[in-house]
Amino acid sequence: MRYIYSFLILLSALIMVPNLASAEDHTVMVGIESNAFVFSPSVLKISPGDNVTFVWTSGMGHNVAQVSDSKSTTYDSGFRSGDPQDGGEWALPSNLTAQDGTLYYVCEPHTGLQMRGQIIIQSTPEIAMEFGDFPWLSYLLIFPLIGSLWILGFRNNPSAPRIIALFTTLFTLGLSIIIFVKAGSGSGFRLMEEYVWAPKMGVSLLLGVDGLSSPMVLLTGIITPLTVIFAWHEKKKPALFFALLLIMQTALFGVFITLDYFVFYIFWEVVLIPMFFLIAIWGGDNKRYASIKFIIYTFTASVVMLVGFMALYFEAGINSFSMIEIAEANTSFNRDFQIWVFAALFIGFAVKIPSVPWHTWLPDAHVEAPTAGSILLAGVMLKMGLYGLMRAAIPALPLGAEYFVPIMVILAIVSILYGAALSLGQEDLKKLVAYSSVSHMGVALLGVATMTELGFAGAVFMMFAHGILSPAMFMVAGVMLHQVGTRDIPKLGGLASYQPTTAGVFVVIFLGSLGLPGMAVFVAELAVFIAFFQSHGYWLILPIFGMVLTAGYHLWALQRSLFGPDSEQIEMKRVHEAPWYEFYPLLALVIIAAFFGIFPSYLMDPITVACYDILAFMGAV
Amino acid sequence: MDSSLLFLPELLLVASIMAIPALYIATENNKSYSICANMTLALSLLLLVLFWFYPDEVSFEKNSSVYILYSHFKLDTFSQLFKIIFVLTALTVSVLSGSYFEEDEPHQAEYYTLLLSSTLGMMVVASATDFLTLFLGIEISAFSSYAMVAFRKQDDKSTEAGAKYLLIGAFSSALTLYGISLLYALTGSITFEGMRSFFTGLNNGVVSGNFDEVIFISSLFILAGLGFKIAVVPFHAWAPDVYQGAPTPVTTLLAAGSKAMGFVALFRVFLFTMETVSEEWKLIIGIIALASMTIGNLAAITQEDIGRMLAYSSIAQAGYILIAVPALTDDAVSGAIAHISVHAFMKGGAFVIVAGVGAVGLGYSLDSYKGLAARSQLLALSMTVCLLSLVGIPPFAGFISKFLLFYGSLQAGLSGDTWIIALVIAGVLNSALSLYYYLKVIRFMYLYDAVDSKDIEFSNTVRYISFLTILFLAIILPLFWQSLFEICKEATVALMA
Repeated sequence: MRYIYSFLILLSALIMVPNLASAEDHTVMVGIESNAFVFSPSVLKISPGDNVTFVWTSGMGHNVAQVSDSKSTTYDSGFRSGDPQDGGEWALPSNLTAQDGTLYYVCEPHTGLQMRGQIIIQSTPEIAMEFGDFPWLSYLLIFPLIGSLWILGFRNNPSAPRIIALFTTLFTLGLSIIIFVKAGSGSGFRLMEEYVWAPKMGVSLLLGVDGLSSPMVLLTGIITPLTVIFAWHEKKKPALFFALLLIMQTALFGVFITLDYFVFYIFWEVVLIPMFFLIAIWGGDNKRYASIKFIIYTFTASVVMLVGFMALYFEAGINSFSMIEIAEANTSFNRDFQIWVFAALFIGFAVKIPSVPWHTWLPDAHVEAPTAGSILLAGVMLKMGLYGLMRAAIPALPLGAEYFVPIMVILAIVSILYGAALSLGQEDLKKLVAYSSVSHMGVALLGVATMTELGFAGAVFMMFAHGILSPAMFMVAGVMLHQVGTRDIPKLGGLASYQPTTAGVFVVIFLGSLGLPGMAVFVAELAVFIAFFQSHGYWLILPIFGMVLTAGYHLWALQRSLFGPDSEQIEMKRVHEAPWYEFYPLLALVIIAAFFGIFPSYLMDPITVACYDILAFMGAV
Repeated sequence: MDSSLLFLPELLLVASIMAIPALYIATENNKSYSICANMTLALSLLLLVLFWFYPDEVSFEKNSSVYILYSHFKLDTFSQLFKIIFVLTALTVSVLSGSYFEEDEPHQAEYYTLLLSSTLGMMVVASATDFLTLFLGIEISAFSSYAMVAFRKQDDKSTEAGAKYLLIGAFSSALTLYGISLLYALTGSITFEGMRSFFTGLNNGVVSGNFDEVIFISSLFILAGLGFKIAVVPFHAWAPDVYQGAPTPVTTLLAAGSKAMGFVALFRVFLFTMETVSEEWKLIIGIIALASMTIGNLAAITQEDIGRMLAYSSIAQAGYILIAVPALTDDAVSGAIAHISVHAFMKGGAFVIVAGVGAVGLGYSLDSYKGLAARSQLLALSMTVCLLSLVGIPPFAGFISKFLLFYGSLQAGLSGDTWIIALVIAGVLNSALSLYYYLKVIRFMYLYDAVDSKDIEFSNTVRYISFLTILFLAIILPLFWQSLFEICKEATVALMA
């Protein structure tokens, strides 16, 4: 595995060989009207193979001589335009711009006046795009949709909807595993398909997976069948319930595999509608308030994001909404534009992540949603925010991302600490888990904010790991509610002795979620924290302290509800081992989390390659 | 086959307008009027679609624009597209009225005649080449709709709405006429072409003189009149009362047809005739757009009657559409035309359901919609599709048309007047705001139990129409929106040539 990995890195490095087909010409002015003793521009970024010509504009007797670094003032070897001259021009020999690197030069008679400049040669990496011959990704979108329509034909049948849903979701699970394996750990996008929708505007259904999206596809494929099994005995309007679950699955898949901004927005919004109905019809006591708050909050943020998308489209000017093409055009966006548009996109994504202070919709939505809804919400929907940030915002707007790094770091750290602190104070188990989601996604945001390969990889791994363990924790809350009718931690106690096996699984889940080594969350947190230390040094103390709080609330909740003396306030006789439809999903999630905790490379390999590509792309600017 | 055949749709309507009173004298059968109206409108629609959009099928030689009736009528893609919308709306209203009104509802002959003459007026407006024809069309349509609003003479709400509509409408028409007369005095020409060449000459310096104030004042007056028709702030006060008081099929006609007619007139006047002197009226239309969006959405939040709520929502939608007018680019105006067309379907669809719910005796307050999903899944789904479409949530048609509108306006703002970007952002935020009150109805339909436990059967007509609405807004348009946009672009080129 290691050899394949390094070979592919080498291959992607080779892909970055200068593209001689489109060599550009650049001009550096030697002396300008307002100041005769500068080179303009003093820092020039070019691609390998481009031509650079120095043009004299002032008559003060300048020359161009290479020096070894940005401080040195003496010419010993390299290019030199000759003796100081008053006018004319001189072309840099083209062999010097063939390789990546930086060339420093000074004007020899005026080194004392700091007349120096540099030329940075950097190649734009090509994004590999491989089109598949079998439309795996379209099938991924179509099957859940067909399943949901099929279910709606069995509205009055009590058991048909769940069976159809189970078959459909198992089928898509198989598809997603195949897609994950086929996507592999190569650089660039695989299994691509393109269906032109509106050619005049450049909108097409462009589908493709890379190392960033294939784990998300796998995650969605894993979580949905478990949701269906967990909701096996849904009594109220089961047909509509399972149909909505399947529509959500389609929309979620759509968000993760589409590479076109317009279609991305459509799937992004379509996710909201089934979720609204899931909360509003099958939710808890405060479902009306929670569902409206959820949809209006997230919708408002998304429309701001839409304005950002449109601005990107216009500024790129290539008449295409394709994310790949717009990212390739990112050198043409000036810094102010990038900052403003990144702010607009960040608002849309930050509400979804959710990042403090825009997280307030999450506790209400989570607590009031039915368990199946919470599972999909926490497991997959929250990942859309960070995924969108890494896919849609950062490659296209690297300067904007760079500008916002301090803000992202602060928001991430605040999310970690505030989320953990709030969890510590919760009595409702589901609300505790909801705030823990805020905290964990803060860790992931921190990984993204480090702008390093390890940080990004840690963030994506955290998205996957949290997507496995958070649904598990919601299932735990669901089991407790189901058995004893309450999720209030003070009212629970001593459950473990009445349901030993189930309690054992509960313990493993909670320990995994708090970051125990051997489970997936640990790998993610480790990667993020190492990356954060590399980029920001001892500021690490703050998020690490968050881990103490995390351990605190997890263990405290566990101890108070499962262990200790039997509770007076609930009927302990009702506590029994969880039935098969609740137990096996929990067990499956534990096994998956453990597997990826012990063998993280199966995920880390594709993820790291994709993250490296994203960063290489940003570095092109 | 020559161009005067293109006048056939209007002629059919004229013939029918004369036929229905004849039928009234000839028979006692109340159904015959609606059959006559339906057939006429259907035939008219068929002719419109065939002759303009499929000319090869009928071996007709089509030019991009045709002048008939001594150049008082201009037929181009813009006019024909809107005629199709008007006739389709009228057909829906006519079919709906057939099921909404009881067998023994008095004055049905007058009703259908007025419906046809209102549509005829709208068609005249669409094709007008000069201000007098335009004004004539507006008045024909307006007077017919005044009478239609007050149609139920025994109903207090209906007559009050009619009186309000008539008074404010007549006053606005007078203001419009004054503005038109000022322009005539200034330019010496009553046709759009003539005035346009005068204004272009003014711009080039061929015509000398500083007429800024006159142009500004006359555009203000014309805006006052047309603004009444499209119901934008501050000329919107009639809309909630009239939408609530009028019989619901009439409201459908007003919301879908009359509003579009107002926009057609506005576009002809401002985007064609006065395009070159846009500096005078750009800012004022921008302000009106912003005010309409905001006030419309804010006022809708507290409404308890579905008709009033939808009226305020129409005010807000008119605000969005007006963003494109100061933008003045082809893409922005195409987006606006697309949104006007789709809005006619969305609002029309919503009001059809309002009519259906009202006709079975459930009432017109928001509480009437509680538990609708349990009573009729089809109607609830159709209402949901219409309302979510009005918000602009993908994948429905309303998102696409709103997107095209904002896309075009944003592009114009980025390359031209930067303040239009602020309008687009306001439009986008207002769309998010509007989600609240549209969602209220959806919640009531799905999450609440019915207020009373009557067993309700909705009329078949309403169910068929709502099915067609879902089909169009949720499936056909999202898949084929490129074709719609092409037609709108063609219409824009025809309009702003």
